[in-house]
Amino acid sequence: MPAAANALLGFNWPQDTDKSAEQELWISAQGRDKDSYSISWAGNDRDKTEQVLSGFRGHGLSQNPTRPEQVIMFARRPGTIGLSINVLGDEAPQPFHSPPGHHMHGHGCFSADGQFFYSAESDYRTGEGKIIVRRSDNLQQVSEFSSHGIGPHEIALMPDGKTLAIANGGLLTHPDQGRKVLNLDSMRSTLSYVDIQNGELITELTVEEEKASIRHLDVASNGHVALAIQVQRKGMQHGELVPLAALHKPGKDQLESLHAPEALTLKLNDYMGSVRLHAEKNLAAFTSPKGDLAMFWDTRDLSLQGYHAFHDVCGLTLTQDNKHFVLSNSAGKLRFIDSTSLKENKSKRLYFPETSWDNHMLTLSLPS
Amino acid sequence: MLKLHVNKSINHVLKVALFSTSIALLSGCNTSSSSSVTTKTTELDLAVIDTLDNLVIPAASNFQQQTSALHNSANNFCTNISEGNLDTLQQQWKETSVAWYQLLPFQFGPMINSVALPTYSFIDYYRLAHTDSLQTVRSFIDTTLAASSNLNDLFFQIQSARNTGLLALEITIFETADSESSDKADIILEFTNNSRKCELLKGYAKELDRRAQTIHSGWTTDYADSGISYRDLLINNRLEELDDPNEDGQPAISKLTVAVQNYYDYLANRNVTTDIAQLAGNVWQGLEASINSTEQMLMGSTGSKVNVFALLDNGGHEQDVANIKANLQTIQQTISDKNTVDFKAAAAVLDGNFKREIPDGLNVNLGLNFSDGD
Repeated sequence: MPAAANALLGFNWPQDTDKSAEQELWISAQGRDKDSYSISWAGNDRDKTEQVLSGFRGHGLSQNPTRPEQVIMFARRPGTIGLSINVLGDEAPQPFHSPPGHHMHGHGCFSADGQFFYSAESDYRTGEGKIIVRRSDNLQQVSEFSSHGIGPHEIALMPDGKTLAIANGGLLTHPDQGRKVLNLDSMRSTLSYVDIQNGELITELTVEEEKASIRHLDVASNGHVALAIQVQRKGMQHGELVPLAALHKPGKDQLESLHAPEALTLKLNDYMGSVRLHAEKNLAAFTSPKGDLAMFWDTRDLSLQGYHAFHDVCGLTLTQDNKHFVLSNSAGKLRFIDSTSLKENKSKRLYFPETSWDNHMLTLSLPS
Repeated sequence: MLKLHVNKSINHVLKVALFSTSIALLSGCNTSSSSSVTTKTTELDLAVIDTLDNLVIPAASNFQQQTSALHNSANNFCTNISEGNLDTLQQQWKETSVAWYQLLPFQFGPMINSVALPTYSFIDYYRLAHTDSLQTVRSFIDTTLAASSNLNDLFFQIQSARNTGLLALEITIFETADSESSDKADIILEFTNNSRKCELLKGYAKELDRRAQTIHSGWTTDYADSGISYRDLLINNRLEELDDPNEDGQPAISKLTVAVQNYYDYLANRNVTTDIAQLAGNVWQGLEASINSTEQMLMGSTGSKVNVFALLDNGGHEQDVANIKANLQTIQQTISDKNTVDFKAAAAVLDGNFKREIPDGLNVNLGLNFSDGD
């Protein structure tokens, strides 16, 4: 494990480059019904958002690292469609679909060279989690490999550019039964590291609580992986509180839980939504829309550093200059939390009343 | 590629389904500062203000009056330990717990103060943790009585939420520590023979009163050291001006609706009827007070011009109103019957009403992610 883990470092992560000359946008799925579902983005120097209608409720998004104007949005589980757009407007949006017998889980990421993108999907006929590989230019599937678990949700490329970190949520669902969990008794969630070249499992880790589902993750340039967890309380045999955040550091063979005072943990209602690491500040940030809270932990000593109440907060990203965490909610609001003081910079608040930001937000850096 | 452009607004907007009404001045009842709303105020705003001024704040005031009376009763009992004074003390605890349940559905703002250390949890730990702490607190009391620590104000202020509040007082007042006897003669004897038990009783009562005062003053005079009442901050949309990480930015109607919805979710899913007031035996009276508060929230105070039910009726949701009224009658009946199974089922139905019919009928968004998740 340690050797494999150490091999995950070394790739020159795009975020390390100076982005001060680039244009910054914040992009998210948004909308409340089929007529309004879209990909929407806003920038600090604009007084309006721009949108591309999608016709389906999207979930996670990913930006092509070598062709930054390309953004892909994946359907929310158990949708079967995704959309590739050009935020500069130079191309028409292109849809792509799950293979027959498969559905998406809402997340994906690009390869380091931008030629391919990976999406988290499931073969609902067998229940097997899959990573579907498609070309970025024509969106055609070129291969697939197992996610080595059930219900892969968020995935991200490690700094080595060759390893995929997969949050296998462990929850079996079938489109015919909507989002109902079919394997509550036997669920097993893992953080799995998979070699993208041969599809083989390098290693996997689990959290202590069997009914905790690892759903979202973020990878930092230092190889740290932060995990956001949702608990299937109905399947539990006890009523104990469960940590909803965890960290995996290179060289460690176990996940480290991030703890909070009882009242805060209870308020989270067994649900963390988004996660974002700030490697420079040694911070791991999380949001809980069911708890109306954003939480911030120090990744060095795992201590809770602060929290911020924000109704229905879920989207979480960093500004281009890494000076602020950006929080979004379904009321169309954006708040900016200073990454040093962890206090809100109220002067930067933005409000787009016609926009219902959905679960996740991404910062785009585009050439000016 | 189809692109749509939408404009932003920096103004906080409360979505309503009804006609707007202009008003000149609104002043709060029993508050030290007047408030004025110079922008258009809707009927929904008026209904919210009626709820705050004629239900929530009076409930907070009543609870604080009861805790004050409980504190006085504790002092009187300890000055003159007698069965008569014990009867008064026990009855006052019951009155205080009922007053708490009258206020409990409105768990926001001064009831919380800090998300990390919410005030209500120091009064009613079960509301936070949902676990029966009777044995744990009994053990704590036993240990404290056997110890020699100074039972001063600070001792009670620094205790964990679990070891203070209504439960700690209930144990102290309704049974003996040594044998858990509920016999009044035994209780009186223990208080007589162990002066430390009176120190404990008075300290707990004083601390509970302090917490109640925090809630009341937060609603009426000063919230979060702002110098302004939470009531005024809330109805004038000024909460976000505070540098407060605990303020989530919801408008008043959302805070009210979500608080009450959470409360019915709690009643439906927790063992409130069996775990609460196990010694005093008056949980059903408390729950009745909660339902009465809910009814008043929806029906408005006597003489109020607008209320939630009227707004729903005017919006064409008469059937929802009829259904919710029927649901309230149902849950009242389960309380009369002291039927736990039916009570929890009825609470679940009302939980749904506050999750869907009421916010939908009032055109209030509770949040996309809130309802949906991923």
